Amino acid sequence: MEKTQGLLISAIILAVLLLVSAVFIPKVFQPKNLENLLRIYAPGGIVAVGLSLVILTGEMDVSVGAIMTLAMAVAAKVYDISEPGALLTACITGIFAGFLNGIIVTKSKVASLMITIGMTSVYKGFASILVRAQKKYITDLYPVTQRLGTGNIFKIIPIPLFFCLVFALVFEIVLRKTKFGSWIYYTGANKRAAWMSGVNIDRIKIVCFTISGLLAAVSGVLLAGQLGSSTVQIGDGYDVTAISMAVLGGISLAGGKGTEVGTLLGFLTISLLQNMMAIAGLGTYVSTTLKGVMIILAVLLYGITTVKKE
Amino acid sequence: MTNEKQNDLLCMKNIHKAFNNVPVLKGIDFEVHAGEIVTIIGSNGAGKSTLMNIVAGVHKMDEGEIFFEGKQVNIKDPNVAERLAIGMVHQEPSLCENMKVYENIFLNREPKKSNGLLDRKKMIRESQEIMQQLGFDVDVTKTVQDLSIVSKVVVSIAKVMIMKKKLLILDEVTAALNQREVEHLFEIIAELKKSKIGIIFISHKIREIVQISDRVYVLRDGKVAGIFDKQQSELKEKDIINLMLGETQWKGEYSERTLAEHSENVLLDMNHISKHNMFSDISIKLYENEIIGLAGLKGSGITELMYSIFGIMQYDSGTLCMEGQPLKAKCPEEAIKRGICMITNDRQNEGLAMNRSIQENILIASLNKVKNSSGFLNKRRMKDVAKEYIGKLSVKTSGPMQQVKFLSGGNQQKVVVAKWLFRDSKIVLIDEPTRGIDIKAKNEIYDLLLEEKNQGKGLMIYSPETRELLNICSRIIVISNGKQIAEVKRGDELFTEKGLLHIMHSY
Repeated sequence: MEKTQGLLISAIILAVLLLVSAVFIPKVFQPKNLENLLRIYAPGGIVAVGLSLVILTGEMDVSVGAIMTLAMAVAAKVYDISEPGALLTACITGIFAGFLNGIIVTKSKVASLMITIGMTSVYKGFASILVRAQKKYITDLYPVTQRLGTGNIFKIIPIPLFFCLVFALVFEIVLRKTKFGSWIYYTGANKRAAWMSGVNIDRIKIVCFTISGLLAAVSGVLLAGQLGSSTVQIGDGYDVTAISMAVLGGISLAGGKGTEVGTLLGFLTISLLQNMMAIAGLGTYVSTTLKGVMIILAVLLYGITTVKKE
Repeated sequence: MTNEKQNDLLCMKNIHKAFNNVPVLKGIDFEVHAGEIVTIIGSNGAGKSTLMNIVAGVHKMDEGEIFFEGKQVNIKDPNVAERLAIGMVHQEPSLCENMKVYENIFLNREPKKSNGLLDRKKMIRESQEIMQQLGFDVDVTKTVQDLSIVSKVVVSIAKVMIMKKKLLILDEVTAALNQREVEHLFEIIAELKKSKIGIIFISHKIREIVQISDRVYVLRDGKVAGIFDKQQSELKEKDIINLMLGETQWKGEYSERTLAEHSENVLLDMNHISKHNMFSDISIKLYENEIIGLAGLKGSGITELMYSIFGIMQYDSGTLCMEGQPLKAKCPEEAIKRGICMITNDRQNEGLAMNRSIQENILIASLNKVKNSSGFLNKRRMKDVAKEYIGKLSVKTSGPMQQVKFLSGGNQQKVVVAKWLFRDSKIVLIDEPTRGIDIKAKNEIYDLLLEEKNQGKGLMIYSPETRELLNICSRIIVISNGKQIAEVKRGDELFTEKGLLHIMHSY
């Protein structure tokens, strides 16, 4: 029952936003714009899908943006040798960075927010060292990367959006239908009770951090393909974007509550909002401000509804 | 109001209180005079803490009247109690651990200098004075977490004294103290008494009570079972115990029940296991088809002993074997895989995820049992299992998807029990199986435990209510201060509440 209630709120927020845009900015619904907006924001959605798993266990990972940057910086070293090798390298880097986050968080018992703030700096610094702070690396010479970023599947679905949907679907099934998913929810709801019921909570958290790292790397590749290049700033801001998508989708920051379908709704909401701002000519500064306001409003809204129930 | 009544510091009349429709206090009359030490004694669930929490404003009474210094008062929250100068020292002192002693003593009433900054010198000086007055040597500039438990209790008392209290409630403050420390504390209490402060003393240690009290209230099942007054006759331990138990009511029940003999197979073999500061030299054999009771006062180390078997903590020395194989679990997961489960006394934090459904809570330890051959969870089977156990344990609920936070304490406890029944472990460790639940639920849970035993399992149960242990255990091991001090078997002369109480209270 609670599951659907959370989804309901996300759906209502999205519906309101759609209504507003239908009345004031009907341009949003032009097919070309829709395709474009979903393509552009899908990398953020992918990061949010991975991050949602981490938040569900009751932890936080703010280094996802830095992992995107790092994955692309490491991949840049391999691109000239082999493009598929570079893509693989990016993924492995993401997996490794996420795994490292998980290990440090579980072994140190320090709040994951603090650990990952630290790791953000570590990953970004390391990325800059690797590429010697070059302004731009990875040019548009790599066809596979570019295809991934700009191509379509079945002629109409942008590949980044396709990835986002598939990941969300896969992990929704994992959460609902597998032992691992039950463990994630239970760990987030009460980690001591989970531990005392024989759940290996450390392993679960490490796996979730690792998946989150991998998805961040994948989204880094897709974004670089879209932009036709990568810089040491490529992942900047994606941490906040992903957190806001997850929170708007009903993922509770306390852990143990929320769904990937919700995160998908959050992704649509944030994407739509930013697109509306852009079309309305308000620029990125306003939309950044509004994104912050949305996070706080969403948290308040969920807070109010749950308090009332109790 | 009569003259006599006006001498009363505190007078409570016909106090009623129920939790979740379970009556806890059923019309209690209680009074304390200034300069008098009144003790309340009674087994767990008799209503001692509830009554005191009403005085301190923590709980609201359902019915009744309270007079303080002759005036009727409505203690609706702790602030009112504070204003009336009622102070309470809890069993586990509630101090700010990371602050200095003098900061704790003056918490919320810090003296300020003329420039508005804290007057630390004054705080330190006055704290030292109070400590001297109490005759206790505590360095007031130390941080509280570095103090011993006695010192913490003394600091709590000092804190209450600085507020110039008229009534002081000491809730089992001696539980963690040794004999010498208790003597010292009693000297302090005697001093307080001279300054006309009324003192309510709660303790399980009958010997102490006889020593210090002016009057003793014995509570049983939410009523005053009797009052002993030192002025009228000498206080006798035996009389108090008899009254506490209400012998006539319970005699016979446990001695009549016969239990099948345990088998010869040793399930769990503890060999001189010890853990520093917790328990030492414990050697117990648990057989198949047996329920062992562990009896002891709070802080006796029984919880830690169970924790060490279940892998929440690890024992330091000695050996532990399960079915012949050595066992030293590093975490509960390992113990559970070996076939051990534990129901702890803290279901909110350790037993359940309150925001998740009954179904999830029952299944969390045994998800492998509800998987399809494809590896996915079988939703229908999950629901069936949850329904089966809800029926078996008669959990009152709207359905398996209801969140456990909406259940009553007894029903929550049943969900915890269901989790481990479904897991089907060989050894079941239980720390207070019936904490905070009513008689009916208690009996239902005990019936289930007996059923488990008869399926060849080994159960080890700690309960503060020896009556319950006598009811279902074939033998009871008494543990005091971490040491195994006696074993009483069904049929022994001492296999009675009185016998066990005597053993427990004489160490």
